[in-house]
Amino acid sequence: MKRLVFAIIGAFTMIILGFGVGWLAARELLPNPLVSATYQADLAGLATRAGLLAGGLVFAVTLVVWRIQSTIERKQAGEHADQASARQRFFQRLDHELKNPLTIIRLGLVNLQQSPHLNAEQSGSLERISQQAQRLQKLVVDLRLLSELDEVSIERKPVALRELLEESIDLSRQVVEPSRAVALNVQQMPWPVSDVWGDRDLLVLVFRNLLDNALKFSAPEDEVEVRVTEDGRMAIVDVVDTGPGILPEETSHIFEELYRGENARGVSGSGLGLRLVERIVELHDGVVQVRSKPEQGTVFTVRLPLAPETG
Amino acid sequence: MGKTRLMIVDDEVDLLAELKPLLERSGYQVVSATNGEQALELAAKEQPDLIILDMLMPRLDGRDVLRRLRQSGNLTPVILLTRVNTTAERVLSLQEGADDYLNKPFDPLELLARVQAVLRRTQSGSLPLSSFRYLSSGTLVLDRQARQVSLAGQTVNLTARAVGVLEFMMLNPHEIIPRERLLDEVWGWSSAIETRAVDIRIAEIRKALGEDSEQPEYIETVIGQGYRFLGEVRGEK
Repeated sequence: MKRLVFAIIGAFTMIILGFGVGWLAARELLPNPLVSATYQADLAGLATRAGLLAGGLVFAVTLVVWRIQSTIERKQAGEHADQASARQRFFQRLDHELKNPLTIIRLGLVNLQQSPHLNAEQSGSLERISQQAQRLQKLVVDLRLLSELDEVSIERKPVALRELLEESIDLSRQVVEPSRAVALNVQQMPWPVSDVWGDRDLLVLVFRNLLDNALKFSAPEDEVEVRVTEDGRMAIVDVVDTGPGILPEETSHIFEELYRGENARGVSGSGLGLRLVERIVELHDGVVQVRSKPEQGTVFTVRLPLAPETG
Repeated sequence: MGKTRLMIVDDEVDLLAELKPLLERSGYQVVSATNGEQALELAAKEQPDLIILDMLMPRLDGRDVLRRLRQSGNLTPVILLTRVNTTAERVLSLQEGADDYLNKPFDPLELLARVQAVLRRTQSGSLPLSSFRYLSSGTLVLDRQARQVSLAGQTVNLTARAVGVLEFMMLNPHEIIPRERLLDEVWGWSSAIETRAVDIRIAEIRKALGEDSEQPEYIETVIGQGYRFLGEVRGEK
């Protein structure tokens, strides 16, 4: 659209210039010692025609370029949207296809567990199958959350970061490793970090996932720290660990659905955690980035908009 | 009086095969159907006390069956089993006359609890609270359609999720509701979110209603179990 406006302005400038030169020449206001009086009228006509021609040419070329570019852009945007919605549909179908089998497995398990004639070995097997069914259940829940999350389903309220992070740290430690300490450093000077703008329940999920990973993928002697600063517009939260790090060729893939890095094999998880983190942060108009050095550690940086000032 | 009779309808034969013995062990007599047409025939012939109906079936799906039952004046309570978990979907199923619904994959024991609850509710002969637009308890009124709450005529400001929590509590008065159940009903993402999210919303509701958690008028904390709505709830169209 912008290009079209420029084309029109360009064309009109050329036309006006042409007429201008023509008009000046016709009134002999233009110093033209090389052209005799007989040619002056023709010069005026020529300038007008040249102006019209040049203007038309600029207009036509710009129009063609604009058409080609907008066609390409439309096609690219269409392909991008197609891909995104195909992905979305795929995960919705996967979610559907998992639900019935999982329902039947859970029913069968309860039936077996209610049987009075189970020996210890059989009970043990059933317990392990139950746990695996729980894992699948977690995957289904995450898939559902991922396919349902959109602009309308999120709340936008001021959220106090320190409290939110303290809660996330508590929850992660409880679940992953209660004996590990996680340091929390929130900027206090010259002013404390203000509230972020968003959905508290979902933001807890973001930091829970990042902290779970930091604790799960590092050794007990490694350190985990959360640092919070702000730049006046965004709050910046770093979740830092001194663990084994992520291989350089893997950092661009870790936010993909069901991706598992070399170091992630053998560690439990649905494979959707980081994708959820990215999706939730995006819905908050924020950004999540990762930097990592093998054998040194990993920093996940989450930027979230600050809540609008009240009063 | 004979045993309470249930009809289960699902196109997955394996699901019926696992669900039937579970219900029978709990003391129910069970008949089953594998498609919508069969379900309608069987409902007319066997006159079950409650129907557990799968939403997604080929040809005549659960919602069609429900609609036809209700159109023919059959008011047998129905629990819908759904696989699509959007709020719109739930509201729709309740509007079309389902008495309750459960998302697949459900906890089998939860299904048993729901069957009991629905039977208890419908045997008392009153219309389910879920069929009304307004729910009121004393001076507290919740408008389910406009998603608004008022106390003694004054609008109470609550977040959407807090309204959802209060609505669900009022739909199930006197019942102890575990936090996980509220997460599943209101958030829809149960295990992805921590149960503390529920406590925060309950605190929001209590503050907005000016409620003292030590001596609650509306919502009581049942330690180790969940929350319970205390007041009598009336429904109004």
